[in-house]
Amino acid sequence: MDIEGSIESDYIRRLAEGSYEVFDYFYLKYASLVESFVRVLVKDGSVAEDICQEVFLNIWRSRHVLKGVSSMKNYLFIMSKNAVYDFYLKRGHPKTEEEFLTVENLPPSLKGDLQQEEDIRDFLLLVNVTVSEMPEQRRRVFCLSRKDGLKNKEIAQLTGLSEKTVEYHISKALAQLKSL
Amino acid sequence: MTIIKKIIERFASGNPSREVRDAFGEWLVEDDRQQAKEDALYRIWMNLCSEDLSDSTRERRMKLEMLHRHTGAEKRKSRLLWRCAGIAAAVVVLLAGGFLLNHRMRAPQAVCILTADNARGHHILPDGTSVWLNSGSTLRYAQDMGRTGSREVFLEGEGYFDVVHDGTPFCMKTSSFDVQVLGTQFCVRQSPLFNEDQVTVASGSVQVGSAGTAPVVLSPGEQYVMDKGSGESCVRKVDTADYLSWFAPIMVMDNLPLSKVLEKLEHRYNVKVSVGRGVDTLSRLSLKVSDETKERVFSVIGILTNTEVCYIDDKHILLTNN
Repeated sequence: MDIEGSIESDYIRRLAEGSYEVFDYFYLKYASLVESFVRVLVKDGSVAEDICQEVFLNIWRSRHVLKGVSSMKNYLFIMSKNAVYDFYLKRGHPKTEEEFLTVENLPPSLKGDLQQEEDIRDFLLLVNVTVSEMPEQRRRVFCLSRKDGLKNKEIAQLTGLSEKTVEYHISKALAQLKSL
Repeated sequence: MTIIKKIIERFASGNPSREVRDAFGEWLVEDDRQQAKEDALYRIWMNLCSEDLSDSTRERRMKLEMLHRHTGAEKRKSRLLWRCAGIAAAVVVLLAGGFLLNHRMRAPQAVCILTADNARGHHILPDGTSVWLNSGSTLRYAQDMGRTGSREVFLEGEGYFDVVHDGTPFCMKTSSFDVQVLGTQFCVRQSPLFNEDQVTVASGSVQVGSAGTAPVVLSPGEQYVMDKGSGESCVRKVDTADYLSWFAPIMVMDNLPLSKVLEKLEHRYNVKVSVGRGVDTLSRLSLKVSDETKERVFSVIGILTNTEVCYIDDKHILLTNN
C-alpha cells in the first residue's frame, strides 16, 4: 500500500475543498523550489519572489480545479513555467544593441553549414549566452572586433592592451565558440 | 545534447547580461519546438536539489503570512478557530488584553500556547528556545521571558524543549514537578492520560525537583519517571528515540512488532491503545508516518493487521480481532 502517494492525493483533494492547513503545507514544502526555478530563468531575485507568490496565490484562487491533480510537484512545474513565460511575453521585443551579436557578426567559420533560419537563430542565441559569460576582457575585445569591426591594432589602442593580448583574447573566444 | 538543451542549461547556470536574458526570453516563449524547450525546463526543475533552496524557514514563514492576507486565512486566525487537522497547528493567545502576540505591549503579559487535539505545534520562545507541543497540550510563559534574567514556563501535557544557552537558568514547571536546565534538549510528559509522568533527556543535563523529594540530576539517555498512583519516582536508562520521535516530521518504523508500533503512535498522537485478546502484538509492520490524522494511521494499522479499530473516545482506541 503506497501510503505517501495516496496521502498526497488526499491532501490535494482537501486543498481543492479549501483547507488552509494543506495550502500552508504545500507552500512550505515547495515555495523554495518554485522561487529557485523561476530565479534561474528570469535572473532576478525580487521578480522570482513576486512570481512565486503569484503562483501560490493562483493555486489558492483556482483551487477547485485541483481535483484531478495527482502530483503537486508536477502541477507546480506547469504553473511556474507558465508564469515565467508570461513574464517574458509581457516584456515584448527587446532592443538588442551594445554587445549583442547578430548573424552578420558571426565569423563565417563558425556558421558552418547551418542553413535553416531557426538553426541559425538558435546558434546565435547560444553564441550570445556564451559570450555573455566570458571574462570581461575577453568579451569586450571580442565584441569590439566582431560587432564594431575594429582591427586588432585599434582595439589595442582603445583598451590599452598590447596587440598580442588582443589576439590572444580573440583566439580564446573563437576556440570557445567553436566547441559549441 | 541538442542545441535547445544547451541553450537552456547554459543560460540557467550562467549570469548573462540583460540583453541576452531578454533575447533568451523572447526565444523561449516561441512555439517553435516548444516541447523540447519544456523538456529541458523540466530537467532543470527536477534537478534543483535542496542545497540550492537556500531560504531560512523564518523568511519562508513570513512570506506565507503575507499570502494569508489574500487567501482569507488571516481573518480566520483572529476568530481563534480550532480545526482537527492532521497538520501541526499552534494557536497563540494572550491571556490578558486579548490582543494577538504580534502587537507590542509594554507591560509583561502572560502568553499561552495551546495545541488542538490531533495537532502538534512548533513554537519559538522569546529567548530563542524551540518548543514542540504535542496535541492537547498547553504552555504558558511571561512575554518578557528571557529578558529578566530568569526563564520560566508552565507546561501541561507533552512538550519537547531545545533550550538555548544564554547563561540564565531555564525552569520548566508542571503541576507535579519542576525541571531546571541551562541549555539542553529534553522532553517532558505530564499528562492526565498516562499513569506515569516522564522527563527524557536527549542532550545536556537537567535537574528535576519535586515537592518532598531530593532533586535529581539527569544525563542524556536517562529518564525520570514518576508514578502518579504511588507518587514514587525513579531514574532509568532509555533509548531516547523511543520517546522523542513524536515531533519528527516523518517517523519511520521499519519492521517493528505491533506492540512497539502502538507505543510510538500512542506517544505521537497522545492516545492510549488497548489490544483485545488474540491480537498478535508480535507481528511485524513497516510504515512511515508524517502529518496524517490518527484516524488515517489507525485505519491503515487495522488493514495491515486485520483488526478492527474502535474509538472508545477521542483518546482511547481498542484493536480487536476481525
